[in-house]
Amino acid sequence: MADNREIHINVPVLARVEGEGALELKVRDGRIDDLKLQIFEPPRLFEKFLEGREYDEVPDIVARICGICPVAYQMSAVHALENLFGIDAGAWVRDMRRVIYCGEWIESHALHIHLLAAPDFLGYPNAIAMAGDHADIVRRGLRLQSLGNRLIKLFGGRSVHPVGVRVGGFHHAPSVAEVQQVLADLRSAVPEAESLVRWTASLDLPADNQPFTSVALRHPDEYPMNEGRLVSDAGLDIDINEYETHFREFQVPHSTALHSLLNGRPYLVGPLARVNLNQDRLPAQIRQVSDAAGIRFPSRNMFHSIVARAIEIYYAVLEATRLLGRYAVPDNPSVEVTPRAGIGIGCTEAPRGILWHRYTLDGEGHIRSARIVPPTSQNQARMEEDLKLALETLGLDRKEEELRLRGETVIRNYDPCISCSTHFLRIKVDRE
Amino acid sequence: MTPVVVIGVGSPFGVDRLGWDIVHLLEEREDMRELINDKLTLLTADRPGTKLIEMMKGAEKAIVIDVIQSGMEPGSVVHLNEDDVQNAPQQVSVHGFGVADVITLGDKMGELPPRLNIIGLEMGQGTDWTPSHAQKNRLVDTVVREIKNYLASTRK
Repeated sequence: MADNREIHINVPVLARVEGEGALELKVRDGRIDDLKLQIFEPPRLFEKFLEGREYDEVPDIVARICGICPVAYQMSAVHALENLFGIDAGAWVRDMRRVIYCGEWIESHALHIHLLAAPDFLGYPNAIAMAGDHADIVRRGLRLQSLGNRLIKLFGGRSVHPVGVRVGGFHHAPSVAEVQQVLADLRSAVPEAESLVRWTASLDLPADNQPFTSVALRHPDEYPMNEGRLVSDAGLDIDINEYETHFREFQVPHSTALHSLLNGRPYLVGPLARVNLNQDRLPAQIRQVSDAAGIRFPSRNMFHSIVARAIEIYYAVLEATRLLGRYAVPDNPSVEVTPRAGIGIGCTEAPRGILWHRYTLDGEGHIRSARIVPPTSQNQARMEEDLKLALETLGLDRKEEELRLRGETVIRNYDPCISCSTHFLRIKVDRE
Repeated sequence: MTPVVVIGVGSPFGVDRLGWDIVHLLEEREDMRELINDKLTLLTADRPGTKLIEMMKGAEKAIVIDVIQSGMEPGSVVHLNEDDVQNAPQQVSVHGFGVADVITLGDKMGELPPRLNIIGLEMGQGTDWTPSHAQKNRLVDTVVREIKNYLASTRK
């Protein structure tokens, strides 16, 4: 009888991922006895690399932490340092930082929706297999990804590990002609971005409502990217400087990435959490498309993350179009910076969720210590909780192949850097 | 985009730097510098994933340089085309899309340049091999020959 069987699912290597991880699942008497999302990627040590460096080296160093979301690392870093130095970089810099962030959201979300997540919901083992039947979908993904990359390159100089960002602004302001070229492509991408929301909402997404806490930035006037208070749907409403009094990072034996809890409980960061907490900050035309597509936010279904990503692509295309539509070359693309000693904190919305940085500097602008809390580690505890609930909802008496596939789908749904892959679980099942 | 693009793929780690090192060596050559802007683009990429397709877009000929495991003697210069790559076993890669995956995907999409070469040095099955200067220079010479031969053929 299924309820009496014991299943040990041991996934020794999560291959084709950014980093190294594994999944271990033990089922006994019809219940999950043990579940561990193991991450054994070697520590990156970037916080230690930063010690002793000049403050102006930080944006280029932290950009190397992630090949998919380097802008996020740069944004959290420059805001932390400018907060410490008491700098207001001005309206032009503020707007163009939103533009470059829009580029990163577009490229990262387009990659995930089309090449990593879509095969799960269309029944293919990976994007390459899917491309044979759905070349148009993959092309759309590559097109949008390319558009995002062009936005990053416009201000970052290059799309991979951009170098245009500095404390105080940008090293360079693109010409009006360069901006107009990208602006034309942005405008022509609006219908495609709009239809993407409808397309993701039409996918056969599993119905799996779960209780969880969403955490995101919230700004008084706009959809959050670089500024705002940290809020949750469980009553949290704090300044980013208060992060450490509410959130606790800790080591677990099975992971080299730290877990993080909010008031002792797992929580969700990322696109679904952002939309759940900030849908009223989206333009009416996006809310109308979303409502018409039949997905209601806030949503308790984690699989609606793909719809949230599409909504954010749509938003980022519109927002970048709006901001570049009034583009003018400034007298100076950055403001003067005078370092001072103290602690600077920054928190911005990376594609995968809040990215919190804290730097301690001496009076000469040298980094004395750094702390970086990325979104993937914050989601780890929630991913384990989700896996447990999702597999129990699916039914633990299902075939191991089905359990494996649902487990993969759940993990990929978070778009974690450790599982940027479409086919990554190698499975070994021991039955007792 | 120039007719020829050379992309050194890699990461900062150990032998994986090979693609970057070769591009930097190409940049130091006078005969290559003369071609840059009009005929040749030299790029390096840190685990580019699907961005590799975009980096090759518009070129008539792309040469991708990487470390290769094909079973040959370590240090051998290895030439592959897109068919060889697509027939290779699935590899552990970064962001889910290694060079082989991206080239296979690009081919299915019809997004690859008309001519594509993957050229690299064989690293063998171990992890402790590092390329010598002579091996790197041999690879540079091979890439230079490919570039010049192609440009000469298009002049006819």
